[in-house]
Amino acid sequence: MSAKRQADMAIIEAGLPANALYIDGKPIMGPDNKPLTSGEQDDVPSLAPGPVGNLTEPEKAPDKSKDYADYVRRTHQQGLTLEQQQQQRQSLLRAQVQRTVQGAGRALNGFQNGVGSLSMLGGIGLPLATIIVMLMLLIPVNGRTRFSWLWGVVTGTAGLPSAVVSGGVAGPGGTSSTDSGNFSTGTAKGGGGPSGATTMFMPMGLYLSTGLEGVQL
Amino acid sequence: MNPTPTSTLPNAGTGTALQWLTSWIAILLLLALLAKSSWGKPLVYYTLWLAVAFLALTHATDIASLINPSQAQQGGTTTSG
Repeated sequence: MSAKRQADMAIIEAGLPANALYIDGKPIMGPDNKPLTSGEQDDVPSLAPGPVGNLTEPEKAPDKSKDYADYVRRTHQQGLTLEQQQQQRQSLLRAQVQRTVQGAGRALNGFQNGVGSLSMLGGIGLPLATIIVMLMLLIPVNGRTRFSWLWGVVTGTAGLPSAVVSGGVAGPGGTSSTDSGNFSTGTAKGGGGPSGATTMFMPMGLYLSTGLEGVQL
Repeated sequence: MNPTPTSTLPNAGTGTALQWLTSWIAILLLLALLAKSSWGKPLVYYTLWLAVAFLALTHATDIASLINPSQAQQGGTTTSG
């Protein structure tokens, strides 16, 4: 064995932990050239590299043989480090997801607390009543608003037909349609008089007096 | 061979009315469910006031004629004359 080879082997042996004999990364012989028992093998650190899948890029071997021991140790440590880094990345990702979920929950709770603390003057009934009143005042039905129809019923200028009679339509208070010539009784065949021979009916539910047309609501 | 007419349904407006009715029922159910929670009740409250505001905006001329009918009539005669 040449002197250079001996020097290289000395460097390698110096780099191995506890100067043990390794076969396939498993310690077999101790520094005193005695076989190791199973318990002693556990005390000596193994040289088995980490999982191959964890190594992203194998480190390029140095040119000089004297750095081989450092290369072996560094590669061995790099395998463990990559595995640990992968576990750390997974734990970091899990922690980040947990933080995101917790932050979203806190934001939702803050929104609920903020909205729940808003004041409601009059409660929900006030805007509901306002909408109903505005609909009655603004939305026309059969030419007039509901409030206008209500006003007509109250003042007696509008109302529901009291009865359907043969030969004419009864007006307000049960009078015949001949008493209320101004009422729009629809298709009053036969003139609406009591002497009419055909049955009369109201085309709409409400009749309207012309006297209401001058009323401003 | 005569082409088959496409719009021969007798009650074409029934589907539209059903859609409106279903939409309104869904909205009312949603508002009722929201009003049960402590945080949904203010949402319903201010949504109703928003509806009042929209109704007032879209019927501004009617409201103006209700408040001051004579001025509205004068404005009408002015524009027509």
